[in-house]
Amino acid sequence: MKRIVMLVLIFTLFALSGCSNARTASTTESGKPLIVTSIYPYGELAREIAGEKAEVTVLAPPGADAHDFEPKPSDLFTLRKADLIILNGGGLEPWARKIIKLLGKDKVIEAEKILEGKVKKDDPHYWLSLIFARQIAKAIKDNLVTLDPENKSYYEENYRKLADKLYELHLAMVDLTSDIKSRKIFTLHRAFGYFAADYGLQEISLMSGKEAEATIGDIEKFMKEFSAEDAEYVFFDPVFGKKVAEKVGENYRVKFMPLYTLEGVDETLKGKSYLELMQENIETLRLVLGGDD
Amino acid sequence: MGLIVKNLSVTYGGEPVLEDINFSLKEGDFLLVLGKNGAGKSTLLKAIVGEIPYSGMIKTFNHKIGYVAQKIPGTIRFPVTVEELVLAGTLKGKPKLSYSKEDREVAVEALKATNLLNKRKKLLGNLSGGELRRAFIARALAGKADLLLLDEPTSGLDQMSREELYQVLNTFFREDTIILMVTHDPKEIKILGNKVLHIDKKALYFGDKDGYLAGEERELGFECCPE
Repeated sequence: MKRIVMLVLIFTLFALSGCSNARTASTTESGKPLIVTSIYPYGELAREIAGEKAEVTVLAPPGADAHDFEPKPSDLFTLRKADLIILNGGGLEPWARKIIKLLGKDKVIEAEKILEGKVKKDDPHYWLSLIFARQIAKAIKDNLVTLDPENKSYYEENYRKLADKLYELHLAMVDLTSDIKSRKIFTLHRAFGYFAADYGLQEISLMSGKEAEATIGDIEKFMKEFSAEDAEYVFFDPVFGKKVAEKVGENYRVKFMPLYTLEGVDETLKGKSYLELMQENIETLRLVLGGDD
Repeated sequence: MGLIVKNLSVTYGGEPVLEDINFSLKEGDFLLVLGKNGAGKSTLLKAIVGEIPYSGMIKTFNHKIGYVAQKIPGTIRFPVTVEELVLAGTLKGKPKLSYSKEDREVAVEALKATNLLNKRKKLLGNLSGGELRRAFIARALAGKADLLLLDEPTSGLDQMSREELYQVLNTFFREDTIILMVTHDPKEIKILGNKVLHIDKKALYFGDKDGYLAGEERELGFECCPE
């Protein structure tokens, strides 16, 4: 039913627009280019680069999970207006391909394509790697410059500042992981694989991918490995992982620490930037891994 | 992201060659490695490539390394053309029976960037010193290297070949690339790079080129840049 509604809407859009395929970068009321991203982290990266010269809209509403978010009918109007669309790929936006093709959009960035050859098919959490984030940010900047060459130096300066901040966080991670005892981190939801690999860490997770609920057996297996490693903390995402954390906490004595997957943000986190949340993650890891000197 | 060298030490025959070298570079950095003969400049590059054992930490992360050694003999005796050398850069460690159309396009771009397109059918043994170095840089370009290590790439070259090489390096130098270049030519400091590492077994200076040129080099006894 949902699909039919969407298709009807797409055709309505075409009828109204007369299928025009204008490529000029002035579709917002303010005349600024409009960047539309599917999920929060890319919206954040885009905002850092766009500054006040371009508008950024994130389709996934607060509290929505990147894994099962689908656009609302009204989002189609936003996509129709977009000058640049940023997607994750890796199976997170199964709705995207058809809609974008129908809307005749050619300015689409897909993180999965940018990182071709470097990412695994079954792990779409590219944005948590600071290294990947920089590469994606660069692609956003390059596209924005093509779209709006008048503000080239402005975007380049913003990108340079963003790249510097990402590099600082990266250095902080290298520093705190260069001399630690245990290289394993335990998480409820598997999301930190790329991030962990960047620093020689290994993520062990209760749940992977889209599995909604962990069974008692899953928890048992996970806790067995946790105990064997003599680990102290399990990381959970405070936005999505509270219920599972409670379930685990009912039966096992375990300490939990928040580690943001940034798959989405809720009202309490709204207003915090990608960089701030990654910074908080690093501070948490510093406490837990004891890499403090 | 970046290149990190921490507490790097190298000994050779019981003698220290490099002692406790620390520095980090990010994308967009073009580092000139300076120092007198035997200061450990080439050793530093060899350690980064992994050619020699060392103690300490070297992290190159997901960078693709392109290394152009100071001496390039050996391969020259084989009947290999410039084009074949550059195409081999696209292999990424896996042998292939034939090159794809895309590989060939990448190679042509690399040959163009290094100004070697009209020499592509020449054998390596018939190249001049400058052309040979450019051919190896072209191979690194074709392999999409984004961490380029160059060991005195201009030594023994005449002025014109040098200038051609500078041009190639400036083409290669992008915001997502890191270059480390060993040089013994003070004039090159003015023309190339934005950071300096001056070593004499230990690091004497690491930082911005501007800071180095602002006077620190005199105290370090490295005479730079005669007008």
